[in-house]
Amino acid sequence: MRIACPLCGERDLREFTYRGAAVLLDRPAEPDPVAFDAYLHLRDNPAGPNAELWHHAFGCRAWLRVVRDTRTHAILEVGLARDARGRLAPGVGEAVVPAEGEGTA
Amino acid sequence: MADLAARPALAACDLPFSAGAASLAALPEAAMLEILPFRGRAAAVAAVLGVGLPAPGRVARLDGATLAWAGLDRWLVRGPAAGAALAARLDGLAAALDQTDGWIGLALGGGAAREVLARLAPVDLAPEAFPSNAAARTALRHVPCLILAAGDGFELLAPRSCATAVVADLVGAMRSVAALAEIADPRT
Amino acid sequence: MTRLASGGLVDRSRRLAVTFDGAPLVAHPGDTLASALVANGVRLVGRSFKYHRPRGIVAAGVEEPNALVTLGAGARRTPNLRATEVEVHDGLVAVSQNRWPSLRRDAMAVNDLLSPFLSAGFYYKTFMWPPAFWERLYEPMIRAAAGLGALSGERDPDASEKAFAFADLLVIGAGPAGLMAALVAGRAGARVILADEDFRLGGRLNAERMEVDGRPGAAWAGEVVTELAGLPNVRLMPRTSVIGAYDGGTWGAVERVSRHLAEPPADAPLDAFWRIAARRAILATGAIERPIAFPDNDRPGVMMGGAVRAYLNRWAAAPGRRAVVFTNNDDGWRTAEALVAVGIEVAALVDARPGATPPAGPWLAAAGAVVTGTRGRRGLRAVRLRDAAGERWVEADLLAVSGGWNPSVHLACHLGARPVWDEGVAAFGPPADGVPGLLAAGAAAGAFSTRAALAGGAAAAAEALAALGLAAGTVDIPEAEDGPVAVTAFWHVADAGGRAWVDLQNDVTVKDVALAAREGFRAAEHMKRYTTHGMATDQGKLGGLLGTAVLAGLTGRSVAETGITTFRPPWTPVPIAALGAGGQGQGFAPERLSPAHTAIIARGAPQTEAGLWRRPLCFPRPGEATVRAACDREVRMVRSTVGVCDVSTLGKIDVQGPDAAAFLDRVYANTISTLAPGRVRYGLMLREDGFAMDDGTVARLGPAHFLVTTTTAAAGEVLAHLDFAYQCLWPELDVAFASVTDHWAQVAVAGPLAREVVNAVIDAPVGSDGFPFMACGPVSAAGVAGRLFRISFSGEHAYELAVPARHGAALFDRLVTEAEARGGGAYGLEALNVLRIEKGHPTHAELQGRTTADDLGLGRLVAAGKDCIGRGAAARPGLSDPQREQLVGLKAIEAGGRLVAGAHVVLPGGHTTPPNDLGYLTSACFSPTLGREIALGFVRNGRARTGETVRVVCLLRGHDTPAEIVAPAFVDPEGERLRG
Repeated sequence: MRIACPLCGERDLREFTYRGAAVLLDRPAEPDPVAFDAYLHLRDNPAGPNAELWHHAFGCRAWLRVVRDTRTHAILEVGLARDARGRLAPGVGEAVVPAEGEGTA
Repeated sequence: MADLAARPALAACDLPFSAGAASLAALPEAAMLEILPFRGRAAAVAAVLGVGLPAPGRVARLDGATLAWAGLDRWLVRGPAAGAALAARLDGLAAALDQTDGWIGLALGGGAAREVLARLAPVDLAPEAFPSNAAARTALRHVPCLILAAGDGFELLAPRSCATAVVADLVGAMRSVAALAEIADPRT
Repeated sequence: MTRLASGGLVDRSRRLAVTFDGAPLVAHPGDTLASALVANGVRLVGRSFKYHRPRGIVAAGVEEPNALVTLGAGARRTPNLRATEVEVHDGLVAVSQNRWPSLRRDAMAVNDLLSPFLSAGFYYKTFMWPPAFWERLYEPMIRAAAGLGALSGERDPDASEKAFAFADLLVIGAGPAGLMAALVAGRAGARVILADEDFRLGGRLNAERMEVDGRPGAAWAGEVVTELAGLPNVRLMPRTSVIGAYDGGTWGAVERVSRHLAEPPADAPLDAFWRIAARRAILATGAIERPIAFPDNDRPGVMMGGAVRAYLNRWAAAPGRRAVVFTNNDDGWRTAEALVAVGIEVAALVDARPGATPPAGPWLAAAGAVVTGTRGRRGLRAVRLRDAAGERWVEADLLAVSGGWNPSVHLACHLGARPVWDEGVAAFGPPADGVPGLLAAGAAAGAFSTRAALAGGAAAAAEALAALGLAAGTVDIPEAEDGPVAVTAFWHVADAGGRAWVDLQNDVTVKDVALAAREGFRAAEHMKRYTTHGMATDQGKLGGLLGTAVLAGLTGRSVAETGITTFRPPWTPVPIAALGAGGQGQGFAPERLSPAHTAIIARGAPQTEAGLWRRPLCFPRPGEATVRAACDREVRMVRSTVGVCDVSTLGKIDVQGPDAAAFLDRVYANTISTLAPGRVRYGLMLREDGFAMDDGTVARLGPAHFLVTTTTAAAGEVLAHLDFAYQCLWPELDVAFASVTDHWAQVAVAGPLAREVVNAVIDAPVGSDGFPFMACGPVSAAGVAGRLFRISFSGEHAYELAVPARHGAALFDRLVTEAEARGGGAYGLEALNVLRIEKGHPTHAELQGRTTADDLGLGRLVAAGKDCIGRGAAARPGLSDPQREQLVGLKAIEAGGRLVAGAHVVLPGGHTTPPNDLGYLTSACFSPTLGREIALGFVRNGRARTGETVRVVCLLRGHDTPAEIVAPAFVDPEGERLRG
């Protein structure tokens, strides 16, 4: 499988580490045990597009929000996780790709 | 007071080494600074450096220094200028970490350099995909590394602690590629 | 000798010495072992798996089921290679398999007589009685009889390698379709990889006599290959099997790099496993001919029609002198013509189709006729025909069978798509969207004529180029035959008695398929598992469709309804050494070496692994014969004088920025923001589920500058955790951090004389008032700028001195020298571990993922006034239940009592059963300071049990040790030795 990292381009799966569903981006604001139990343990299990978090551990070390079809493994969307907080449902995402050439980050 | 002798990172490695159409040598030792700009300070950092920060996947070759994108929000500057004075000028604008002894630098050259790296790095290094100002953060087998395009060859930066493993892997790949070149032309 | 006088794509000017079962063969470059066997008249090449029937070569490619051979000797012995794939070289030594004592006289041939008792699934109904016989007799017997070929059992002396390749277009197969596709795409400037499992590109053009553009197909193929080889954007990969389709345009391929060389260069790998990333791909894998099942259709001399033509045309080898041809399609007629063209007699051309009009020739032509049997156990002697006139025997030593062609669609189905029944060719064709970006062309797509293959390859390439945004340019399709496909499905001769084989390699017959259907295994997948049809090393390439078609007929369904079993990678067998290439030794886990490594090795320290790092166990002195002896001495040394230990391997993360303190407050359970510059604090990190993740120290080097340390083996995990916390949870924080583990060498100095030793090395000496316990700051040593931390893992007065890694070895040496001058010396991991157990300091033996801060006795460290990772879930009531297992110390009551990690804590006076199990030990050692064994462990409600006597039981080692539960700190619990 290959994932198109917004910074590094398309890379082989071996460069990435899978963490879990992208709901992990929505950490409860209060230290409520019930809310954290849901945050940690309750998951949908869709046969279809699924938003998840991958770490480009052997590349740029960016955390990525990836929408992947669990039936076909097709990668539908890839974006930086830090730009995605608050948007959990799979949808049209803007991958943040910096301009080519010598620009600032 | 006796000296604390300095031991080069690649002292235990038998370099330079050549096999077939590939050659491997240690890069000349140079100071290195890892620069991580604070929020909204990238422009200010660029102003101190006197040059724009390279985009992801790019390296800039300057007079006496190499400035490479090295990962999310970080750059590596390598050269005599990458010392305490530069770090001081970046105070408050960025984290400027001395990484002089953190990375080893290798130069891999020759016509077979790309074939050698094909055995170790899972990235496309063909000129179409990896032009002359390209930089890639990837891995050589299981060792994280930074690959920079350098003329017809490559510069490879890897963590100091993995020096012997990385050099052994490169030498092994070079020997293999040289042996393959000896085997007959595939036009049978 | 049956090598034809002329023709063939072999180099007759050179002779290669090849032996088979000790007998010499004459072979030439360009031969396979199979073609050499045919050319040397060797008909008997193996014994079948179950019945040990004599078998000969059936095919000419990877679908060969019978000619399995073992090559090489000693550690290089390799079994189960198909003779049709072995490229001969000078000195090749091959032996047959699955026979004893010899191929001609095999003792296990008795199985053939027992065949009525050995039908499909017989082992489900036998070997049950008497029960005692299973271990003593049946299992050893089955084990001896099972399997094909034998491994050497020795360590593999050869290396394989792995490599990565990238392409715009991967063309799989270099027959007419593949060559045209590569040509079109290559000329258009695309990056092309053309892979073919053969050593000579050209596919069936090399096996047939048809012309392309007015010249022999093989010659045309050779010209195309020459042009492709000259294009810098095209990579030719012969001897390369593309074995699997994976997600995202990734393909796995195995290249046989040096197996064909008599004397390969020393550093050449044996095989290479390639991961190819291609934006588009073309399936030009051709088709494999299928047999027809009829009684005794497995004798040596019964061969596939297309294979007969390949041996005649490509290798100038005659498989027989007098042939019968049996076919159900027009392509089968070509075999009769090819045989006669080289002077081999064709006694009969038997076409099963009643309405067929086979060509006239010097043979008996019979339409609507079938073969009903054969004779000749070690080699075909006669064939029984049945037509309208009745049955009769015809003398023949070769029977060429053509049952139709199956497109090789396997790769297109590897991602789960099902092949599609194509009535026109009576076979399964490739699914349209089986693999994203993959197009099929030529015979693989069910287009069997040469011109259709050429045109199809060009069209597929043009479509791929369009998708890639490249222009195709005009390419002329060469002239070639364009005959229609005329095949009528005919699977087996039903009404003829005897056994008819559908899977030659696993010895599965039509009767077995019928038995499976009778017993309820009617689905194709069930029939496969019950009969083992299609489960051998050839994976049903020859007989797969045949078997399921027979099943369909027996169960009154169409073949399309019955389907075919699932295709999975690998396409052909892959040596595990190739899959695992580069994964041995350092390739499996690279060694990470401390900057002090050379100095440590020079002192003769035995090494151990901590994560990927090498660390010293101890520094034995003369007379210390065991690690234990050195360790005991080092512990006493540290507590009485001074010890020096390299701690460079611990993770070090530099954290800076206006929000650095706030960030650390969120990732640590305890408060970091209150730490003053110049001070160090212990830090405990929790996972978000409230369990302890890692502990270490945090040093504040400045108002917005911190240095975090981690456990050696957890450094990567912690850094990834910080990346996650910053990028995913709190990207609004202004903080930056990076690993500086490799840049800094760090050495610990511990013991009553530690300050003296440190002051002997640093430029400006420190005193206790200026540098109290848990202080940190910049220092220099011999002019080298470094850092000093007054922290202690051992519980003694201790420091850690850090300098840039290039000075690490020299620093270690200096400090050890100064320590030795004062009666101390270096110490290693064993002593380090004993010292920290004596102090009750947890490591990852205690932070094993199931213990909370409260379990560890660190509940008070979880700050109440701030949010941190893990705080929410740690508040779950069950996680602070007093009945949880809590960290305690355990001390053997008697001096010789044994305590080992993993032992369980049991109530005294009770049975050693789970209800009486109070907990377990996580760390244990002999304490030289206390003169007895001590341990850390987790005991139910442990903190309330201080002073209780328990039993520490290890059933594996036979220990049952009385021990006292104590507070975890055994030595200097007040910490007086730390301060001062």
